[in-house]
Amino acid sequence: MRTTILCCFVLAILTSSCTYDHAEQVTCAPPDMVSFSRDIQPIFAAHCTDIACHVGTIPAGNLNLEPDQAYEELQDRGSGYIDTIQPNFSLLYAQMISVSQPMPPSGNLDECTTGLVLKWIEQKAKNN
Amino acid sequence: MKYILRFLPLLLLITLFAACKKEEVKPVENPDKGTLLMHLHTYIENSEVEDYGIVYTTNAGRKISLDMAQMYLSDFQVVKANGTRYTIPNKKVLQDLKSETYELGEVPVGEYKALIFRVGFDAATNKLAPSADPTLLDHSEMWFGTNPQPDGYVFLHAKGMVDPTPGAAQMEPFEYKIGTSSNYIQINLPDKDFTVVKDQASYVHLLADYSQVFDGIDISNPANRSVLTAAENSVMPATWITQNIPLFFRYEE
Repeated sequence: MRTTILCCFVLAILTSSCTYDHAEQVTCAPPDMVSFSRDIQPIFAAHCTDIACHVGTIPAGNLNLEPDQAYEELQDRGSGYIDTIQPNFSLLYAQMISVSQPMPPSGNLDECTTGLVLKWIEQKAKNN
Repeated sequence: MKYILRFLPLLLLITLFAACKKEEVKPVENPDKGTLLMHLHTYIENSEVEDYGIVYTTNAGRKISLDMAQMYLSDFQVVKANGTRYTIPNKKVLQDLKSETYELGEVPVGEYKALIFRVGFDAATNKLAPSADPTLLDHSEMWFGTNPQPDGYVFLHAKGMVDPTPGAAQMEPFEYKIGTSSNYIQINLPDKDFTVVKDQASYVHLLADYSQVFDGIDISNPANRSVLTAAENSVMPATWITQNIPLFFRYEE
């Protein structure tokens, strides 16, 4: 009897020490075709223009991301904001995942959001 | 039976430990690399130069427009927090108004505190024919004459219009071609931390303020508004402009 209790005791301790340490993975479901107006512009509205940074006549980084200007400014040749040849070199995306200088400055957005931006660039950054 | 029961705890213990799966061991960070890029804007004081020919006014009331604003940049190094340096091998770029993004190359991942580089070329590169690297060197606007040799390349070419005294109604032309080995200038920016992450693109953001070219120079004197030959690079105002070049660069806020 004593042996049985001992067995149960050992089992209980060992079982309680087990942990499930695999973080829950976020599932992203980006659309097959990312739309600039439907998917990307709302990200700017929520994180870039709402805090009065990339707006107006003197926007931060000389980059205005308001709806009527964002696409044209991002496509400015030579600016490097969008690089459809090497999408992950695009300044827009690189800054969003930057460790030392993230955009927005308050911290990196979640991977679903940054992944959506990357996918839009990979799909040739259309004004759709 | 009693014998089995006596060893049951030990048996259980062995079974349970054997069932334990070893946590996946992450590999120790090795010298992986990430890509470092420089984003460099052309400025007149606090205004980004959108195009050639546009007149910008400084806080002091000086009007400046640019028709040419180019520099050769080379010898890029990144400085780690502990002061050790990594030289990005063989990277040279021609900075111009229309290009803001320059891929510098792959550097080891980690925390850095500074990017340093030079304006101009080392002696060996400065002796090359344009055919040695046409993309980089075959730009006649970066030559002193009809051929880059024997004088070498123009390291900084700034050209445009400026008012000789701030606020003067009439703007006058200026043109500075700065080069030669004595004007191969090191740029040491103040420390600003940046991180290079494996397989990611990391940017350092800088701007080049071309209004600094006039700092401390009496440009009401027409002779001080022109440097066109290699010979003129060893005397004023070229020697003064060379000292001004490090003032061009600052971090984009």
